[in-house]
Amino acid sequence: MSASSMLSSSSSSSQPAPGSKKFRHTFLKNLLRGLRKGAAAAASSRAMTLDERRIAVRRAADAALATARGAAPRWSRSLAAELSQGRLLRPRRDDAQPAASSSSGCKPPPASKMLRRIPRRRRVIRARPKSKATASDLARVMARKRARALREIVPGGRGMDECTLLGETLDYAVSLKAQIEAMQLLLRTLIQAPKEKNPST
Amino acid sequence: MSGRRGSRISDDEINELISKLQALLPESSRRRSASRSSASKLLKETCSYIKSLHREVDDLSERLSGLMSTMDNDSPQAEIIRSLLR
Repeated sequence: MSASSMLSSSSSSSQPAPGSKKFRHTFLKNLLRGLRKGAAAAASSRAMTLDERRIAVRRAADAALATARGAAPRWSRSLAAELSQGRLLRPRRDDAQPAASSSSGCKPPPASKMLRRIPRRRRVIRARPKSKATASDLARVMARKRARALREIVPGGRGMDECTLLGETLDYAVSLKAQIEAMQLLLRTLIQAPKEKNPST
Repeated sequence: MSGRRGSRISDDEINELISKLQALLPESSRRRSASRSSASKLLKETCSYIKSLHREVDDLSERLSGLMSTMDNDSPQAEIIRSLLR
């Protein structure tokens, strides 16, 4: 299933805002469909480990999220593309690393040292004004380092300029919250269901 | 963030995005500093926040997968799922 078909197969009317109930409902529907498909596949290959099952649910949840959000934000398209390529987004659960350590080759120095160093031009991202290094320049360089960490967390962040990244991050965070709330709701509903089948009245 | 970056959106728009991000972050990690370095702090906290959201989705995925593996076609849970899908 290609990324574009994944997104365009959702309803053609404009997508509901990520904070809305309609969004939650759409997401849940997508998620349940995805889970049902996954369960059918898993039933044939009974050797799924706990981790594999969790990852399958996570992928279904992310796919449901991207589809519900639609093609408007970039993160959503990137997420759908990553999922349809079969690439695992976040293979590990223990994302306990601090935001400062990015996965690019160099480890950025701690913040206190940054203020005393003159920033080296490791690579020119965009042309900087020729003024001598001021506090605002340094702050900007620092912000760029954080922006790098953010780029790796937000799907498709690597291709965005900083300004787009900020807006996309906002939208992504709001959507994630909606995803979480919807899944919590689903869990609560399933857990509270009566354990035995009631005789129908 | 000075205006000489040559970016396409204005500083005002950036400030608006920043304040929206700040509003989104959990109350406990909000900082009140007005200096420029708060932009960097904001980005760092946003990173941490999104990572924590990811962890939560992972956790919910695990619980959901555990629950579903105990459901069979006859269970009330399966019926709930079917009814939600109609």
